[in-house]
Amino acid sequence: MSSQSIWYAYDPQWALSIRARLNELDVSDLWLFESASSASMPRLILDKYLGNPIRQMTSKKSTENELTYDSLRGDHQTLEALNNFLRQQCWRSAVDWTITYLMKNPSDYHIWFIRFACLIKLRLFQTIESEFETFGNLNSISKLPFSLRLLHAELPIYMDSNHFHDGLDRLFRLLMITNTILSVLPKDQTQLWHRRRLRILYSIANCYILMKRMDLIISILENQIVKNEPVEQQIEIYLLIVRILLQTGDELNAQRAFDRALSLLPSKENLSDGFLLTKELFSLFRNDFSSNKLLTAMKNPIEVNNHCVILLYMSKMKESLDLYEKLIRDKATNIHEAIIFNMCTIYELESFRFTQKKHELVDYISQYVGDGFSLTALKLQT
Amino acid sequence: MSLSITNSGLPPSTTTSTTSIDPTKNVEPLAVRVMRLSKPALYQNIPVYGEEESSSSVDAFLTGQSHDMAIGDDHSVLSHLLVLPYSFGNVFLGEIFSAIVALHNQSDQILHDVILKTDIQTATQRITLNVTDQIDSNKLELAPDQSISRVLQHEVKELGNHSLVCTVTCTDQNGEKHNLKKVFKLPVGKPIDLKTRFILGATHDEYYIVADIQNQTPTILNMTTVDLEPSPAYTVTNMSNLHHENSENSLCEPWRFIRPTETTTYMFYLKPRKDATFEEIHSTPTLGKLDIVWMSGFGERGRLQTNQLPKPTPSIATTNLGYLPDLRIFCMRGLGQCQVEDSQKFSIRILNCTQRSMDLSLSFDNIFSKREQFLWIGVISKQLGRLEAHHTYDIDIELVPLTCGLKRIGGLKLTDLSMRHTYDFDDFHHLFVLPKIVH
Repeated sequence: MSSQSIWYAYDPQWALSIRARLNELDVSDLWLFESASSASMPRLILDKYLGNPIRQMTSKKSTENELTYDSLRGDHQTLEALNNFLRQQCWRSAVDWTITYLMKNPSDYHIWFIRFACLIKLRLFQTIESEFETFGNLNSISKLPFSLRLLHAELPIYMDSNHFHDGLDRLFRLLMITNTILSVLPKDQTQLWHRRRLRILYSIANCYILMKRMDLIISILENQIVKNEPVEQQIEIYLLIVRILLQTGDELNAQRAFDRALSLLPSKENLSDGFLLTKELFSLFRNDFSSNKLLTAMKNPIEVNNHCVILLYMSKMKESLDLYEKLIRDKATNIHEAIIFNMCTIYELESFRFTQKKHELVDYISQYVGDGFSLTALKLQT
Repeated sequence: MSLSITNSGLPPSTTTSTTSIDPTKNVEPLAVRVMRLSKPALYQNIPVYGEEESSSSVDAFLTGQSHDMAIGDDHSVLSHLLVLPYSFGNVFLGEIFSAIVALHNQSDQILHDVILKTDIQTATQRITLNVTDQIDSNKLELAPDQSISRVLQHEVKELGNHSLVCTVTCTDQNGEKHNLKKVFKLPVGKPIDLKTRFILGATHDEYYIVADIQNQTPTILNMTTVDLEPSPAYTVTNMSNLHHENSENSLCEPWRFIRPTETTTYMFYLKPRKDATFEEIHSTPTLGKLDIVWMSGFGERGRLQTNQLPKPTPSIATTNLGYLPDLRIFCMRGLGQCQVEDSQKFSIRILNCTQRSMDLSLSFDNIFSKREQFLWIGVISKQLGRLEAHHTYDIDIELVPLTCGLKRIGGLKLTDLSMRHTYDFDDFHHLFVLPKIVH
């Protein structure tokens, strides 16, 4: 069996059993089912409300329009309230909302997905794993959303470096079932499952990136993923390869990957943001700061952040901080954990008043960020 | 290095009030803070997959996720966002230690003549890091709450305790001088663990050098160069990359990377240059040195060179003070394989490595040949005559193998009659003895 075929491997026995149920189920609900008896009723393990830690830290008074889940408010129990929390990245409020709902409707797997999606954003991996265990065997549940199966498979790779292989086991199993489903579907009905298959490959690539398996990362990105994507996405993948190689110290091949991305462009005029950001990363690598200037006036917050970081390496501490302060006041969507972390790091360097400055920062951002914001970005000693 | 003066926005005080630094506060007027400036890293996401058509909540979730600038609509864990170093980290030998020093005027007066000196103190020496700046020699002023910063770099060339010593002097508005010295300990470690071993080549003066390099840093290293610079008398062939399939189109050479705690083996083949003289080959006790260069995240560079690697010591005792044996023997002609009880002839070259001439006679060690189960035949003891310094002569010897198997052939004894010293020689050859097939 050549190494290529692991990507396309499927099980003919499984194919028979899936084909048998082709007429009973929607295309998107197809799966390889094992005996139904090993399913159990899912239940919550984390049943205490998460609340809003940022709100608790700030000295500002809370307002009526406060976007934090309140179990006593009737208007917070609706689906629209949940969707509102989600759109605003209020992951904690969304999780708290699901507690009430899932106690009454424990078999609503779509809401379980929302709950786990928010928990994984909050990095509460063990909670998710424990609650998944209450589901029993996932393969014996019909109509489990595919995205929930995928989240379950991806979960181990984020936990810590001891669980990468568990994640790969789960992901490859998912891949094999997906390949089997694709082998039984008529050609005109395969679009959804191709999309899902491609996403599994991305998840596997993510695992390799976290494992720093250089031999496998580039191979899967170039040989398995690129060819299934349109040109704009192919360019993004090559730029991803550039970032991976620069971050592991391989400038030579990073340049080759960059050139390959360039070669896919119809014209070299008006390079996209992704290209400009990547060029800055090369300058950082080469310690070539002479050409460092802000290319777009405050439009792209990632560019501003990276520019500020490089300013620090040029010993321009104050310019960096001034630019950061302007950035986060310019638009609420510019506030990101990485940016806040960088600001707090420079605060600590600049003066002994950093604790005070951090609290002022919390007061400011608490008005704008959802309760999904991670407090560790603030580097506060408790 | 660069120096920048910052102004926190407050206009420098131009009043002539005699506000002085409150002695009861016991606070230095200037604060010194140091931050390690190892290269930044890229922020890592957790991109969640959902299908917006499955429910309105999934759609809402994906909308929320797409507002995260690090993810957008991407599937990848690695964003474009740079994040400053999370902790001080380790300092490794061969790498460049980089830091930013900030001075902050935490008093309520203008401070004059602010001078910052930065030194690295090692176990053996003190290295000044600041080159005399133009700016330094001018009168540097800091207003209250004003900060300046400077970036330092130092290439770490020794192990052991290192400290960064920052000495600041300034004068306050009352003309009082203030001195502040802060010492920051820098923990210096070994980035790689290197083990070398030597394998003697098939012919004399040829060597295989095998180097095992283990990555002892917490980051993945890209070994851009692992080369052996040979001693002048030798040429080197790098055998480390022979088996790698290097497809033209491939964007990665994964064998160059060593992950933390992993080990990679490198191999080099050394042989004497064709035009090297006897003196050149035999008088250098060293084979060469290893030059190792690596890169890690965003251009962190490291370089180490080993000392000269010594030639492996020979197994024969020497009477001279050098490393070379007095006499060396080489098997010039002879089979490696034969049948049992077939006599075998060998031609042996004897080399006199010393500065004096020798008067040699040949004999054999019967204990050796008995153990290996062969018998010397023909002339088994004779005078060989005078051998001048650095000269060779060849002799023919003959044996019969008595049993089958892999035999070590050796057990020669050469006696220098002028010094009355006998040299014993261990194996110079191996003979694989096969049974006779009886037809």
